[in-house]
Amino acid sequence: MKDSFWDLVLAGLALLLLFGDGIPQLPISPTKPDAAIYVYEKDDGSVPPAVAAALDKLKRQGMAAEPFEEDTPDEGGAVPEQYIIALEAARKEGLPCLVIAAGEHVVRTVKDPRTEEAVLEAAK
Amino acid sequence: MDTFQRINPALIDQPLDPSLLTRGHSGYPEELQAKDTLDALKAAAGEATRDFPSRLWIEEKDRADRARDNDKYHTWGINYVDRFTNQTPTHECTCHALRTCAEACRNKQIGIIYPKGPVRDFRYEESGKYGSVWLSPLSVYAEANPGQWGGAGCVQVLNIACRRGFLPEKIQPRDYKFKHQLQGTTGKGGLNQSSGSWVRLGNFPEGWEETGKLFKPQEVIFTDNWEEALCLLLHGYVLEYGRSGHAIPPAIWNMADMAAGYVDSYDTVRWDSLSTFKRAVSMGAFAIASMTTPDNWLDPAGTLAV
Repeated sequence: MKDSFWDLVLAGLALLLLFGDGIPQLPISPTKPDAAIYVYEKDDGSVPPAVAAALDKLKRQGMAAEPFEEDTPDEGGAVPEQYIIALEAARKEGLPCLVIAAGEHVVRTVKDPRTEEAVLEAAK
Repeated sequence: MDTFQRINPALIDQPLDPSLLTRGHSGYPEELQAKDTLDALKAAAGEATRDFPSRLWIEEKDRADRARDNDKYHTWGINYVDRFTNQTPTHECTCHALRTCAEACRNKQIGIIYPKGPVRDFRYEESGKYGSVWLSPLSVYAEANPGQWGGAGCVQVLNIACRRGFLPEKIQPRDYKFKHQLQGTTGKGGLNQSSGSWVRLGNFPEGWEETGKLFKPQEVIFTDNWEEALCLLLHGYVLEYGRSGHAIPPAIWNMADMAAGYVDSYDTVRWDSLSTFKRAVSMGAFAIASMTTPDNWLDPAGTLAV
């Protein structure tokens, strides 16, 4: 029993050493959203005021939260890099569409959200 | 903001104080206004030109509800304007109005709302935190009127902006490390606007075109129908039109008095009555619907390791 205990201690120390600085990194949740992009086509309507207000709230909480009009280019005429993933996901669902992402991973999409609550809930 | 509250009548159709002007106008004399037809404005925007999309039409019976939503959620165009400018005593009005349209459009794209709109002698922390960029009206005006005095037409300045964009001005809410910047005005300026001496286009910082293209209108919606213009305001766009010797950017609509509020380039908000609004729009008005979008709002020139 005692030997097993010390075996475990030694194994734990070995793991700590393997991480180099001895401090293990906790894995980042792959599904914790960090972006909420409302993709729309302005010819079909504008961003609903409630949605705009929700995006503002999320932005102030630290998310990348913006409306993106699908035809808006960067200075070279291309889709801005920060919106490529959201645009692709939104077009699959049909616009307007809220795309919630965690890094490059699309967590969920919500077709045509209209309320502040719908956006905030989706971004949780 | 409560757009169902009456406005102080003294602020509606208020003429400009003559002490602010040079040669009796702010930069939009009649001879230039006469050239600003709707067709000429559309031609000026080139590939960026867009007609009013029919789906942006709001039926009259629904406009009050939309206005209430804008009041509740702070989503008028003015809620995307984070600063005043001051052109006193120059003739730069068309360019100050245009920068308001452009900056509001960018801030709307960034997604940050300023519930009180622009506040005189005040800088929002959010402006720097979320990537607002302040554009130089002089960077457009210097090309529109190489003679400095006499003003410019809306057609001229819109064409210049759509062709090669604005330069950012020397005062910014954060350090973007722009390679090229220009003073905002040769006029009074203020806390959030740099003032400096006149500069000819040929003396712009070398290579300035590279930075200018980062701040270009991409889509511009045109109309000469006052109800379409009202719908654009209800959708949170900022307009530009010229009338009575002055070009202005209407950015909010008051439902009680049926008046258009504009961010005047004299550190204040003033109002056009419905009749003035109708007359002005009938000659041609526009709203910038989208601006060049960077890969990173906090590093629009790609010069930072953010």
